[in-house]
Amino acid sequence: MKGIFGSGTKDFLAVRITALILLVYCIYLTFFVFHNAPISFDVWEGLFQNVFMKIFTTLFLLSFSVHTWVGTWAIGSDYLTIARMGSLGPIVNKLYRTLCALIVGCVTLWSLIIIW
Amino acid sequence: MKEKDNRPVYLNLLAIDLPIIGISSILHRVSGFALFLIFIIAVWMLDRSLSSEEEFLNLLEDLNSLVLLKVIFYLFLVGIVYHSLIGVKKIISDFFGIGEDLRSGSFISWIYNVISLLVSILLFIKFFI
Repeated sequence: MKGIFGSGTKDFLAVRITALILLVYCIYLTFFVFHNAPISFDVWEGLFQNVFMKIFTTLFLLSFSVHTWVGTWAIGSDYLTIARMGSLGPIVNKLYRTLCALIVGCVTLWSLIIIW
Repeated sequence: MKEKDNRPVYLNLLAIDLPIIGISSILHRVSGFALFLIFIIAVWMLDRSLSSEEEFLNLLEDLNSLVLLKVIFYLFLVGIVYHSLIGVKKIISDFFGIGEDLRSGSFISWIYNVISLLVSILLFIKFFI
């Protein structure tokens, strides 16, 4: 198994490094919402107008795409296999990966357009 | 891996006395996949919230009145909390070797599961009661 980035070690690191970025972003956003509760449109929009927040959000979205791309691969390579599904496995897995790619791609692109 | 063995492949999860670490691991995976799907709706909400003040207020109103949206948003937050906590547990054991054996691993898993449950209950009260 070669994973996504060519080796298990690289996949391992990619998932964990992106996980930390996702976590820091979530904690920051939670803190921001609590600190400004009840949040108004101006404060909310102001947050995402800030250029640092735009960069941070972009980093979050890129991390999201890598994290979920590897994560969904791990799920598919565990369950959608010949051992579990017979000869149907590879076909179902291929369909599943295409669907995942579509979701990851569209969602990331869409959210980047919203942010910038 | 070449040699033939007779280990069972189709494990019946209900018949196994799975430790809390294993249950957490499965829930970590389930929550991760659920978050992946719900993220589409989250982006849709972000789009609405930033488009105009009117849409922002409409969204808040929808989150209050549309039960399905409320439930999805609740599950999204609960999923983030659970996935994050068990994720932190895994990273700590991966990089620092803390909680790698059954005893300490179970203990830490229990703590994180209880914290998740408490946060979920708090959010439930805030959202639905």
